Amino acid sequence: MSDSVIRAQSLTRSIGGRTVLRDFTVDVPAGQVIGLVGKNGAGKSTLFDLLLGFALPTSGQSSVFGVDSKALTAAAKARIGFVPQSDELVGLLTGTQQLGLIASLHPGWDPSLIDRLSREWEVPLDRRINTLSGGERQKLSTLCALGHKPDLLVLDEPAASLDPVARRRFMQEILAIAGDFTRTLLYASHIVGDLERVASHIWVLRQGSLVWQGELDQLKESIVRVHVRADHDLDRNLRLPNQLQGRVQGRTADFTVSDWTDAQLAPLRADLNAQVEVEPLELEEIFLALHA
Amino acid sequence: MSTWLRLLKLTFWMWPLQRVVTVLGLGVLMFPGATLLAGTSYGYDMLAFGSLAAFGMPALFGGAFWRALSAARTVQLAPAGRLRLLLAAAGVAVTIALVWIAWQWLFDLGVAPRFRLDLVGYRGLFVGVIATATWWGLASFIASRSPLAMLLVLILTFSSAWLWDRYATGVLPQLWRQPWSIALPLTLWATFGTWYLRDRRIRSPGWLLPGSQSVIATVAMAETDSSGLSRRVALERLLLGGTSVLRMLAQWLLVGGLLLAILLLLARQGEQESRSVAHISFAALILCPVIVAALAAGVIRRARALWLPSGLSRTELLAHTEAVLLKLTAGLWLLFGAFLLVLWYTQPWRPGLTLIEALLALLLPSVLLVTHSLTRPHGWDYYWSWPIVLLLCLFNCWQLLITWDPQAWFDAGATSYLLSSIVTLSDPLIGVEPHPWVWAVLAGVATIGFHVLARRRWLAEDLPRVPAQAAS
Repeated sequence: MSDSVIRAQSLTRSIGGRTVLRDFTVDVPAGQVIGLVGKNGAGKSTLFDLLLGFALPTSGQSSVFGVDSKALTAAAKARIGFVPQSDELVGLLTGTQQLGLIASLHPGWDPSLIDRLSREWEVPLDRRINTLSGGERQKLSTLCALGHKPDLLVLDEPAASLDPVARRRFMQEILAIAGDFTRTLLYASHIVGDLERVASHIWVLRQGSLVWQGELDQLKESIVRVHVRADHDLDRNLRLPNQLQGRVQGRTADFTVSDWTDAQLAPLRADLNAQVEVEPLELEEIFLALHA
Repeated sequence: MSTWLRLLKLTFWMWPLQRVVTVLGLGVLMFPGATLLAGTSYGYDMLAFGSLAAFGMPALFGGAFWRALSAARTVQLAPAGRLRLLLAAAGVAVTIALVWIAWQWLFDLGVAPRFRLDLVGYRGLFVGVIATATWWGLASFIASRSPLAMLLVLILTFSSAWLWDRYATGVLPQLWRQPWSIALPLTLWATFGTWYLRDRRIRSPGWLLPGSQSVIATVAMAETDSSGLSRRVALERLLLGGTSVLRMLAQWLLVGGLLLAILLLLARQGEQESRSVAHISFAALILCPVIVAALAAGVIRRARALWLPSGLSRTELLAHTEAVLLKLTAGLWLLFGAFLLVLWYTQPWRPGLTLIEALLALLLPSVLLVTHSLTRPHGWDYYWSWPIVLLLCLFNCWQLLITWDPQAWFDAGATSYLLSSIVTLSDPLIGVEPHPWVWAVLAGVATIGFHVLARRRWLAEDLPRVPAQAAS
């Protein structure tokens, strides 16, 4: 039990009669970099709120570092860094002052790390926070979460407001942080291309339910696009097992299927009497297929 | 630890040798035996020895220590850190002057009355020591970036002292006895302070040995951690949106004091004006709970952001938030209470209740509003709570202005948000005016009830997400 960084068992949350998160169960060992994807309102932020103790579950339970999320201890909290979707910075302070105040709460604060990152990310620390752009605020918010070198870093859309250059630098740093295989990262983003670069594991949330959890490579091997080319017209109602999407047009057809294994290829060729090719998908295409 | 104590510690108490000479010097200066030796040359010898021991090291290194402390990150981050350090430096000068005066007083005990200093003499001594400490402190601060410059200041000071003694004996003591002479050191402090507070970056004296630097850093970080602020102060500042209770009170004092001064000037125009001003002024004091309510909403919203970094449990976070709010309330109440006292004793027109009742009428609804606000961990809805509170208060003030009824004033104050609406509605219905203390007791009971409810809700409800603008 103590080896799990995050553990959730049948975690469910309802708000006003609507179930925002349903029967969520995971067990995360240390060192994983988890990308959390889902449409708006899929329950990503609610999940973070529940795991980190901001919100209370309707049923089920969760723990972080073996401590119940509802009553996280100071020791457990000291190992967590959290970047919320809407930053919670104090607008009247400068970046330096904000970081100074947050540093005061963490005995293990690493000023050299923050100095380096603030320079690399070009965060104007001498300006008042309420004069910073959205991207600058997000970078500052991330610095606040990184300074005490947390063992678990939870990022809720941290790069949404960053320009491509800043986002690339940001992701490089996230990669570096994740690189030592001891920290655990939980990263929610709409920019699934970013997740593809950093994540070792993927969670896919759809309407509050966890529809996929596992290794990224496993996901990419499992969900593929199947191209069919035949010498004859294909049946318009043709469907493949575990089909997520499909389109039949005359002698060709394209299908996106889940739970694919290479063993399915030969029988399919024989059944359809056609040329069948399998194409791996980008994470973004998988995401779209899962939400089709 | 206050900044003054921190600087005093650095000046007199940091190094083992420094402690020895400080104790020795002060002991010699204060030793009652000095009185026995008064009138003999030994007394003056002891004065010279004691002064050298107690003030020698600060005189040599005080400016450098002060500069090192000014350059410390802790001072830059602390609320009004530079100003506090400047005042602390002036405080050290005053402390030294007071020590000297104490010595002189002991000395005078042992001499014949005709040789004792009179009050003017003591004032002159005080100004003289302050002026010397000012010159020495400021000059050595400015010069402390370079040991050579410090040496030059030392030579300049001693040579000028020698020149004064040689060619203008008695001029300086005569100068310090003049009533206006205190303006000289004050002008120096004001000029220096203007630069000191405005300068963007004060550099530390790089020539200090690494050991000394680390000792100074230790003092600068006393009771603090790597960032320079204690956890308690950092939490308070984060809850208050980056400011401090003192700073907020100073702002309200400035605004309120200015308004009060204008109103008091208007009140001197005539009886009618005086009556109008009294009505408006007393009614305006009811803003105290309104301000508390508005500030409480913001503080509670910001509490969520501290859930993880503070390491506090929900109960502890509530307790801390409540403590900050009550501290703020107490400060605002003292401020508005001071305004009330000024009005009370300067205006012929005042509400018919007693002063104690009036002070309670400011305090009780403020505390009530704090606990009521805490029952909603979400914080009040920013957009609609303000107009409602203001509307209720304006309604109460309007009643007060129309009727000039002391009961209305008390109701307006003591129940400005919740109870006043009940009072104003129930009075005509039940036809009985309850005694003010009844409402005070009710407010107290409601406060306790809200506190219990707040505790339950903070344990059982979410700490909700807040839009960034609202949190700021």
